Amino acid sequence: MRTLTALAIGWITCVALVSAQNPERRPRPLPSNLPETSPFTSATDLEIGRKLYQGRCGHCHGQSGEGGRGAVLNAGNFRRGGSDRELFVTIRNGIPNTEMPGAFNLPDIEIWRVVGYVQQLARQGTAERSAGDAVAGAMVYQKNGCATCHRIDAAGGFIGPDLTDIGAKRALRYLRESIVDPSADIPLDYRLVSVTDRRGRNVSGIHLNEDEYSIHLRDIDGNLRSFMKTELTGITLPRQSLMPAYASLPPVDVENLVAYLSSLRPARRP
Amino acid sequence: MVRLGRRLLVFVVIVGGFVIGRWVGAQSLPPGLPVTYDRLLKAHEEPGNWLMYGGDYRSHHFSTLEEITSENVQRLRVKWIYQMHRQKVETTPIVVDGVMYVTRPPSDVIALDAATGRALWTYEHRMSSPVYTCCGDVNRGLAALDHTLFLTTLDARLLALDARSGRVLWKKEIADPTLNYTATGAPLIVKDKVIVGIGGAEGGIRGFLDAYDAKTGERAWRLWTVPAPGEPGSETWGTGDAWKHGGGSTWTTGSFDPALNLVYWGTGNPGPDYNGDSRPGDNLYTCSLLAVNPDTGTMKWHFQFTPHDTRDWDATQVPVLIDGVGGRKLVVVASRNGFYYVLDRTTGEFLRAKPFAKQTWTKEIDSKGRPVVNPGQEPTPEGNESIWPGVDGGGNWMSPSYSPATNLLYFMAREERRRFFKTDAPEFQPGEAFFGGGGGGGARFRPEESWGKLVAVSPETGDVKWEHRILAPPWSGVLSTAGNLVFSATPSGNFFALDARTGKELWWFNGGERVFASPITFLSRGRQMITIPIGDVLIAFGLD
Repeated sequence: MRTLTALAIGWITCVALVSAQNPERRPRPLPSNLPETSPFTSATDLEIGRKLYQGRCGHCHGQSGEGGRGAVLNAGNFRRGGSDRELFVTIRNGIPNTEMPGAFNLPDIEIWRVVGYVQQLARQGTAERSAGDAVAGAMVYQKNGCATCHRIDAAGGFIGPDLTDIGAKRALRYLRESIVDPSADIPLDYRLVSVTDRRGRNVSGIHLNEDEYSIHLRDIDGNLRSFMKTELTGITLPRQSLMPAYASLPPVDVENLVAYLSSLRPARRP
Repeated sequence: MVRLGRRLLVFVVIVGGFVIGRWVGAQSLPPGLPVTYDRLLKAHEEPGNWLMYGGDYRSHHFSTLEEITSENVQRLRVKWIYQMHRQKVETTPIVVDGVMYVTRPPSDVIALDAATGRALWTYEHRMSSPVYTCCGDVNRGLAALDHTLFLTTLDARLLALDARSGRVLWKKEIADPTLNYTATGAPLIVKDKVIVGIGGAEGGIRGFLDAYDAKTGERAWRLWTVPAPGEPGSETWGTGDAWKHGGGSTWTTGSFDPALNLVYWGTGNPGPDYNGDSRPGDNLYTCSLLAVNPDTGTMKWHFQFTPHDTRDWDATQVPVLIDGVGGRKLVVVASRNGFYYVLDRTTGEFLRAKPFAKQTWTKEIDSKGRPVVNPGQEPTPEGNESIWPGVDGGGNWMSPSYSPATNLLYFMAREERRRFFKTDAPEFQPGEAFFGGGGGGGARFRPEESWGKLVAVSPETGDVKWEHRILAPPWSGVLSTAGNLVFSATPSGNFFALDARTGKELWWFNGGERVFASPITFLSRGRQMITIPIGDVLIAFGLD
């Protein structure tokens, strides 16, 4: 009996050890003694932080934190928390399921310096406010059939990006540009691809996956399509959004729509 | 008499059983050891085995096996899979008469039955301390001599393991891992010495190449790749302390010419990677190929590919030794800086260089092999997007392959756009990077702006004979065989075979995950097998 018990314990231990050998794909662990406030706040630190920000962050968040493809950082509103510690974690690990990558291999001291500079940007409180009417913008959204392709909460289509929290993710100017010229910056997950088969038939849709031999897309009806490249005579990746440009929309409608989209933030929900 | 007869019978049964047991054991799993130095010298004459990282001392990564050919490769099938459960498997196994010795991240060793993929023993390394690594917890393989395997570890140790059991015979600290030293490359055995490189140029180390006594583990010599003040080459570092954290790592295995008694080993980038302000000058012996006497560690010659590098273009590519027309001894390198170089390996004389990937950084390579650098090709505070190749280079550490059957050299090349930016020079911090900028920013570009290709060149001239384009910049090496085949793999996880003469694609297999390793081939129970790690599994292929 004692032997059986020992064997059982040994077996369970082995199973546990084997399981422990399967590492998760996760961000590098945080330092155990991570402070609440940045230890690096001198003028020199902030200046180094500014340069790091401009090299690594400014392309998406704007060189002055005014936002763009990335969230506005000069208004003092941070979805993932605005303390030094919270910003450190966000910068170091990135935000899962978004375009925000972790700061791969950036030393902790440099992350703290970026935190310091981002806090300096946040204190400016200069975020642009929309001149439009969000309620009227909701009507524009409805009237123009945006929900055919876009989803807000549980309602709408899935051909275009989910807009549920879009106000927290994009700056006003980026939203405005995306309405009147959606091809100006196309998110990687929404690239248009067009294929032609041997019979000359064209199929267009959102590029989902591709390797040397096959390509996969979601067509405009939402169907998942798979093609072997040997079956195709052409593949094009036009730098064009699947979304039509609404450049002819009256400016007031554009501004109202921008105001509505900008109001779509996590905080509005319970 | 009867008693004596019984005793004799018992004796005969026992001894006979032992002999038969040994014979049966030998038939099922030949011992294959020892791997003598003489066998290593003639590794290319043992195509059934894969005795060292580069296949042989010339790093040809070629096999004369020809069971699998361009005629029958369509019948290649999976024979077994070994699950690593680790990320970024970069290992090249060695195979000795039916036993495969393979590493898995971070620094473990497994002996596998090469016929079945079943584990015979496992050594799991316990890290002595947390280690800063730039590029993952990787290991690229082992070396073998006699009954011993040699392993470098992520925490900068060199271990000798008994190849029959995985038992540790001795363990030595190569360098202090808390100062960002790390070791990831396969050692190279030369005579009675184990030659090992070091990693950590992204962490501000001062690089070196070491040799250790294979029996005792005592260090025989150390060749610093960044000279101290007063030493030859120190005049290329300015007058400050930059040399102390000057980089020049040696993280990819070199080659060896027994006739010239020279080891050829590439060195990494200077540090800080992207800000060269504190290190005015060429920064010898970084981004160079060194020819080193393996007995003494003295440098016979060096050739620097990228003086005063600020784009992280290590010269840690595998140097391939070939003999040119008239028997001239050559060493060729497809460099990270985008040029293919041909050097005289006796003297280090520069013979020629040709670009094999898009490059914008230099107008030309002059008659001495020195680049005539174009303006505006440095990292900038706001980011410079005009520089080709990208930070990961035109070539990199992945093994090239030279086929004497076709007289072609095959290697994987990266056509990539990246954004280089510069920040203030960092202070050295244990456990932290030492970049002074960055070369990332890949997310700024559309995927189709980067691609990859397998290139076949005439090794003496660098003339491209054919190219096979793949979708994305690769991290896989190349294997060529006498079966008129070239094997490699893509970041999409596709393992493929091409006609070695024409580049025509003949076969492919979707392994479903990125490949960071090089294929090898060997015999198992008389049949040719090919293995490659795909994602976190090692897959063996053979004919039906």
